[in-house]
Amino acid sequence: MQYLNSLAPLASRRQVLKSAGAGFGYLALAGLLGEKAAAERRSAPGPLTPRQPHFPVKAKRIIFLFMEGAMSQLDTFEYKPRLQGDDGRVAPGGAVLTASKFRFRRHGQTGTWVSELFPHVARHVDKLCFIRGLHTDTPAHPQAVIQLHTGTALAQLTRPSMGAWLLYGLGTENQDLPGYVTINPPPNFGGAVNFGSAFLPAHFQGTRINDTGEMPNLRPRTASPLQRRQLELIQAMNRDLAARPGAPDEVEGVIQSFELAFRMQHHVPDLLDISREPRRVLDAYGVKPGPAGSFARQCLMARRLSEAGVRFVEICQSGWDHHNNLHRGLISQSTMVDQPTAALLTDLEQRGLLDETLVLFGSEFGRMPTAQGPDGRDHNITGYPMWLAGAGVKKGFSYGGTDEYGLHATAGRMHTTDLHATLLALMGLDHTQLTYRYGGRDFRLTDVAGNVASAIMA
Amino acid sequence: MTRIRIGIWAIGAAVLLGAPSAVTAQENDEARLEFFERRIRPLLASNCYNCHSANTNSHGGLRVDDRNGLIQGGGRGPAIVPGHPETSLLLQAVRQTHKKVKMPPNKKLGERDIADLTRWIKDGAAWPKPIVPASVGRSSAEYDRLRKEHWAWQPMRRPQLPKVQDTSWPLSDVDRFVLANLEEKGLKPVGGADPVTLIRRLTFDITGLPPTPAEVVEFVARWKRARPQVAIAQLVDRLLSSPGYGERWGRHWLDVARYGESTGSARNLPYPHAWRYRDYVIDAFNRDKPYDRFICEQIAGDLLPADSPRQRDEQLIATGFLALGVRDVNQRFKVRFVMDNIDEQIDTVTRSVLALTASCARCHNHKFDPIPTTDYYALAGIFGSSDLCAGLRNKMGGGGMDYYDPDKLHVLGSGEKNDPATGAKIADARAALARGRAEFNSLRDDPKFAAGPEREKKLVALRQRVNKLQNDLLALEDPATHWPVAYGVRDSKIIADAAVRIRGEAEMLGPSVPRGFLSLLPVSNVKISGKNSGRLELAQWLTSPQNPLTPRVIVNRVWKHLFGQGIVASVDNFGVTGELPSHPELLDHLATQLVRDGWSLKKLIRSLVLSRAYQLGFDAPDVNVAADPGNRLIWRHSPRRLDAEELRDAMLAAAGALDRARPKGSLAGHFKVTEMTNNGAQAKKLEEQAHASEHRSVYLPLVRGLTPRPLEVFDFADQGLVTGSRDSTTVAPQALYLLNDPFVSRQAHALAERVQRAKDDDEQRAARIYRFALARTPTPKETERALAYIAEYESALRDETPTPRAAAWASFCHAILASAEFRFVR
Repeated sequence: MQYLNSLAPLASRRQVLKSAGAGFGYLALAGLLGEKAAAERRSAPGPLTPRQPHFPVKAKRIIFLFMEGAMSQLDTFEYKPRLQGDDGRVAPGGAVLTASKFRFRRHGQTGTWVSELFPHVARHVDKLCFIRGLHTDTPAHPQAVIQLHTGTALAQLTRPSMGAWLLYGLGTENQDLPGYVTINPPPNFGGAVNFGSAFLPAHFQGTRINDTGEMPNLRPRTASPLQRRQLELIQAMNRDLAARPGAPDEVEGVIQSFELAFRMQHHVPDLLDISREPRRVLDAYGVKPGPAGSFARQCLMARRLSEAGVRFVEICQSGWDHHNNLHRGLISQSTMVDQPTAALLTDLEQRGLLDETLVLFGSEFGRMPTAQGPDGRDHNITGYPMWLAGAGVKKGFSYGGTDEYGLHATAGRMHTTDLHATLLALMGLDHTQLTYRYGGRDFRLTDVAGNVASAIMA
Repeated sequence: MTRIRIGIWAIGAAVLLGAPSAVTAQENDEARLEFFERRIRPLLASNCYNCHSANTNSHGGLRVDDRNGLIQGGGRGPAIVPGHPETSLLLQAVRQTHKKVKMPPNKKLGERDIADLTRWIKDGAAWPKPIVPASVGRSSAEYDRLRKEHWAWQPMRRPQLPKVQDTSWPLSDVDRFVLANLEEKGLKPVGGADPVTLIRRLTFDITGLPPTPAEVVEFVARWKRARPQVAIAQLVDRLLSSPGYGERWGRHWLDVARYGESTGSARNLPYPHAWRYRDYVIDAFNRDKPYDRFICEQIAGDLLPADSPRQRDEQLIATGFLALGVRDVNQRFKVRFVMDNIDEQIDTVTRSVLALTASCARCHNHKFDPIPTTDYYALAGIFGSSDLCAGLRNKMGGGGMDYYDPDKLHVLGSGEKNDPATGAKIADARAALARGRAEFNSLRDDPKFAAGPEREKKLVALRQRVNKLQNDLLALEDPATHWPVAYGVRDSKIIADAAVRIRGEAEMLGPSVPRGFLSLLPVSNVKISGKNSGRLELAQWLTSPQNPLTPRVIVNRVWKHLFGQGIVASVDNFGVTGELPSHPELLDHLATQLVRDGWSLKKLIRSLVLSRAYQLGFDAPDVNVAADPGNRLIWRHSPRRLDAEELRDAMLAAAGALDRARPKGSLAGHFKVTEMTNNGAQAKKLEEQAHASEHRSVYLPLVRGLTPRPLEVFDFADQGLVTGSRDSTTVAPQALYLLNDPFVSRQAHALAERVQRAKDDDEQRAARIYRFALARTPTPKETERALAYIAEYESALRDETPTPRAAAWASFCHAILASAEFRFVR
């Protein structure tokens, strides 16, 4: 439809609108008056307005590379000479130890061991910060995935996801984009709970995008000023509803979702179009169509979103649940993950973004040093690693560890809750102060626990 | 405890140790195993594993790294017959005496190797047995404790009605339970809802549709004229007897039945006849089929007696419940395909009917609930003795119609399959195909026909003709060409108990377990005979009066849909890791009542919505919010967002465009059973057709991975898993959909046109829009705002379009459809 091309006729009607008492508030004007008002809007208080952290830190954004299904740490980043030597022996408890079939080598100045499955990431080991003493509560994916994302899976009450807490604590830098984006999240294991806001206001929940960067209905069908007017009418009705006693809690979320939607349709399509990247960048990430290129595309989209100011970006590679077919499974999985992950680190570094971006890489738990079937490993929740890189963490550092077989965390033990406390601290938030009152009590991402692993901080 | 048959397993050997002949036998076994390990395994590994093992490939569907794999064989049948080298295909292949199969490729084994293989097969093809974990079949003290203590599977008791202080408040027994809890916590419920709120709530909750303006007027008038409770009861009876009831509550069951019209998974193949099951479910709800009967038909409809061909068909269709799950047809090994499908059936049946996660016991004893792995395989024997009729077979890397198996279908209708004309046509088609093949072969094998482009061209043309003839024959032989067909299950020719699979691995056979049921439930009056699969008995066991879970679970599901959350919040998990009931006595009161009412769900719903608790207003006093923010105690009616279907249907209804007729079949009903891609022409066409549809949303095509957008964006049910409770999110993509999707815009224009036609003034016009969309009249301030908007918008468009006023009204209607109020029901 060919409606208005010029802003002027509507802008001149500003007084008319006001005097008509039609509820067109300053948001409408922001749309009508362009940049100046947009700047005003950014400084206005709102749930997504950027907020000062509790204490100054370097990290402004997080990119979480989630390896859903539990990547075998003993075949990738966790080298255990004793396990390699005791292949086939019976471990305490009766199961049979199985060494990694993959070759490990020392890398970088730090001489960190990485297996041949991650040759590209291995080149970055000197900037990685390993946390090797993680443990969690439930050896089942659904609960563990939910716990990793929300702090607990066993509560009577669904809890907000960590991205939602982060957005609640810090707002977001770019008001034209969602502050929290999750690309290609697993459809099961809690599904939307893992990027939901639970009892936090709904505008803190994550926005889901598929791995080809598609978000339908992004193109407006009406000229922008007219649509802005229509939107303001919708929002006026929504605010009326929100003001009525007993209104659904979600109405505030509806209001925010419309504001965000309106801005997104102007900014997101360009941002997610990775074909605009130069050939050499696409090649560096290993971008290609189809499932094999999914993670590469996600990494590149993550960089673009993060660069544009999205506070929390999560991307996901599923398929690490190797109860069987461990050997070939690991090869095909790591082939899809290694190069793009390394390219993301390089790219962030070259753009100077790694100094203000925290990268987190890992799974909901680890796998056993013992064999499951001829070619598999079962779940291990008692000791497994993740790694961090970028803003605020020590480079080429390793914190904590497991016993000589990689079964139990023995040093620098970090529960999922400790991981959350540490991530919040790295983002400048005191996890004991980041609270939300609901149902007569103050809730935290870390509930009543959580210790910050300050040893890893740069 | 489940009895276990011990064959020649480890424990058996120990028992036999006393007899001298047994010692010899054992020595022989050891010698044979040693021979296998020294000579045969290395030979197979170095010559065959590259193409025929679990970790590499499975050419021809054969794997030789597993004894059962060899015995079962691949596409050409068993590779070895233990004790019979002369009939073992493997030996013919390595001796290269077989006409077609000569192995290994481009090589011949040495004479000694072939002699070793012959000896090994002759001696019984010895292979080391898997070690059966000691825990298999053992009960534990923890299991015994949980069987006795966990609330969910204890027998039902009809509880006494609790005493309440405010005896004027309860309208029903339900209210006494609710009020007793509130009084105990010192909370006061809010007042009742007003009639307009109530008719909107009831109409959406029972039929998934908004009330029409006329219905609102009539109800409010009756409310004022008669006693409110009389008006409400009349309304509820009207709603329960309208077809919309089955369309909404049937859809709730389809969520639980993980209904979908394709296999999903690695290769997405359509189920073009799945819609018959969908219609069966909707009809069952509308006819208020007793819930126990409904379950029996879905588990064992094919085994139930039928009074008429029509009833027989209906019962066959019902078993589609067991067929329409996600299936990985690209699975290489048939045994895995079969075991995965059995697992999917066990998971669906136990989670949907019992809210138990029994499939956790596939690989090991259940970690939380007292479900030993032997219980799982007792159920697996039942499903393993039943043929899955989903029209599919497994095949690695197939193409075209390779996955389609027309023998695996229920044929409906008269069942008359021997139409002589068809028989003659099939014979002709067979002959034509044979001639085509012969022509192709003779040309291909003709030494005089020189290689070159001419030859290639001719061969390709002939190959294409053979393909076409093959498809012609397939279509003729396909019962779906001649008769209506449906998916489901039927008893297999071979009825057998299942062997426990060690660690859940399909090929690792442990001891066999008699077909049976879960031991955690105190049902003692059902036993499986040797002659049939045991599905009929499973159905009886599920619906036995001694089974407390089935009625508790369905009552809780119904409660959830009316009150927003279940009495047990984890509606699909009543196990140890599930939630505890907020009102345990009320749950049992309702469950026993359901059984006494002949399992009538309409009666159950009627009794719930006629309670005071259901009819509460939505106010939220601070003191109550502080004490019970989640409204677990039901001191008010929690508002809820419309679900995806309601939202789309409500837009169509407001626009006056909703087609209430049931469409014939499904938009995916004519699809060929070939792989579908998410971005192919077929997918695009389906999307367009779904977009254009004005039928109720329950009839939209539900090909997995191609969920129609209006459903997908508003948290549609996961089509792979039992889903008793959908998510309800509020995110920007929903706003984008409402702002920009052409469907919404179309309904907005239709609504605007609908009010233009009337001879109203603008104020009345605005009021009509409010009544159509929101079931209420606007306030004076709202009217003023509406008219200001219309005037404003129209003048902005004056130079842009010949009909600025119509565009302004459409834009206003669009805003109403997108508003939060339209989306919520209170």
